Amino acid sequence: MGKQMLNALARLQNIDRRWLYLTLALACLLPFVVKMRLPVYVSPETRELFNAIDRCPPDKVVLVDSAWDAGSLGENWGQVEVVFDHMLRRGIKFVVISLDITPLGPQFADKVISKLVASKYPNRKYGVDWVNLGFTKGDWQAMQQIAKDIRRQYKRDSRGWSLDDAQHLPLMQRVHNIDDVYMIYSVTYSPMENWIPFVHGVYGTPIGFGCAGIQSTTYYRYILSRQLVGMLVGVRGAAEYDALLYPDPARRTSLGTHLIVPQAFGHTAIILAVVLGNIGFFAARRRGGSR
Amino acid sequence: MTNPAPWQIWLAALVTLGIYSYLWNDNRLYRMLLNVMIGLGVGYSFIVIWKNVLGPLWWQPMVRGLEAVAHGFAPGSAGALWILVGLLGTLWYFQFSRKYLWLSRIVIGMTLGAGAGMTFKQQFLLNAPQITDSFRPLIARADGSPLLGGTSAPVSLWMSVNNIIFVGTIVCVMVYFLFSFEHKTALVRGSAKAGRWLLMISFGAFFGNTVMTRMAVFLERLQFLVDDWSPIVPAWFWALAGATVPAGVWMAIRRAAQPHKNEGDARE
Repeated sequence: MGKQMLNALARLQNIDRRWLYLTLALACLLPFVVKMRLPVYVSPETRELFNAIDRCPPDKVVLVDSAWDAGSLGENWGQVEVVFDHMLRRGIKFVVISLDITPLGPQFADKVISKLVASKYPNRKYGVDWVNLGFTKGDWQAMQQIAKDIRRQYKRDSRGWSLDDAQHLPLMQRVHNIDDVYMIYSVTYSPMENWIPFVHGVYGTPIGFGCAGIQSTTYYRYILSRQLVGMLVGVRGAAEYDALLYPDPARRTSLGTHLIVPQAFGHTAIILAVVLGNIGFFAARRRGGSR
Repeated sequence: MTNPAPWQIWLAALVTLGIYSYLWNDNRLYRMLLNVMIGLGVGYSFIVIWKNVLGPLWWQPMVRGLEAVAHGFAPGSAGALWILVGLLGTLWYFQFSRKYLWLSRIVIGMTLGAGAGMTFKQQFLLNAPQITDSFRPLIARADGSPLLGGTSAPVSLWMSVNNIIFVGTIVCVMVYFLFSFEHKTALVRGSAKAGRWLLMISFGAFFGNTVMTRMAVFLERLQFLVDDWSPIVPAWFWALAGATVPAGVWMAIRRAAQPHKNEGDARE
């Protein structure tokens, strides 16, 4: 290879980072402008979570720990959206809590549910089909309190109704402790592992996680050991769950489905940048000198 | 839940663009917006924690208890004991006093004691099933049971290979972390080297997932800008952007041609 060619290739190492940002932004923007779809392959951890929630008996509720806010909205919104959609469709009752991480959690959960109820399930009612208990502090202490007696941790729901108010919260009249909870689904950037020892380890309640992609690598081990029944990983998990929920791609409307194609384009741009950088590195090494 | 007003969308869009201006370079707008976000978060958290946690779980039971005490130890007086929790909590603030620092050690000791007890239970219940799960049959049946003493399910090649990789990975990585003796024999050296490669593969998975998360955060904002903000942007704004963006690109080209400055220099 000629010296000139090597010099040209070696310059690939020194592309200004702002050109990379611009390329990445354009690659991600393209699928928003030109709508397109890509096939979605469902991973085992998503399928297991779907099947677990689908098996919820009618006399129990799913406890959803929705403890995320704008910082991880890109991933967590889609993860709760598809699970709420599933439960509202199947008539599975659920109780939303927001444990310890962000006080904005209950508001975001309400936003997701309101959107679903307004667009798809106008007959579902707050207090009957779901309840949002709001934010509370306390990590493992709160988990233990909720497991033993939910009223020791929560006196009122996020709207201010007493948990014993049968008129406004009929659902809560049959939810007292962990015996009334079929499973726990914890969704946040980095779900608290303490659900596993302090609730699953003690009471055997199944636990599912919805987490940011970056955190998933540390949680996979709990799926292998069956300490987690399933997990939604980032945008991918949300898109996969949506695919299980709606086999017809035209009916999929979740945020996960919306973002998965731009994400694929963005990843492709990053892979290309990594390849180009490596070509530049090896060209520089062959030429002699690191840059 | 009502839809946001146009001014709210504009505010969110400008804050988003202001935060992303950091990609161009560190700047005052970015730092100001960052501080505003932190301030809003802390202020909001304080109010919500008082309203949802400290108010109903500590302050109100304590006030009711004190009132009961004031009425001649009426029923519910035990709630007054919550005042002790408040007093214990305030001991933390003696960290700021050199003279009474020892008082804070009382509550630190209690916290450490509770933490140690909790950690014992947590680690045991979290990791014991992990250890149990790492014992896997190298020749396994389709349902995961071992060849000898297992069920009547047929032997599964896929399950067996999976278990061999799983157990082999654990052993190799653990050998890599045996630092208390020299890796002399070929077997130990080879296992440690394989362990290092396997660790590298897992770090690659970490990196891939990191990219995925950062990308998702960006994509959500991009979707907001495209779907929510751009429809309400007037034509003159696009014209202005159309005139300034090429100028910005031109400046970037000129800047790239100059000697490269690293992040630290830029901040200075």
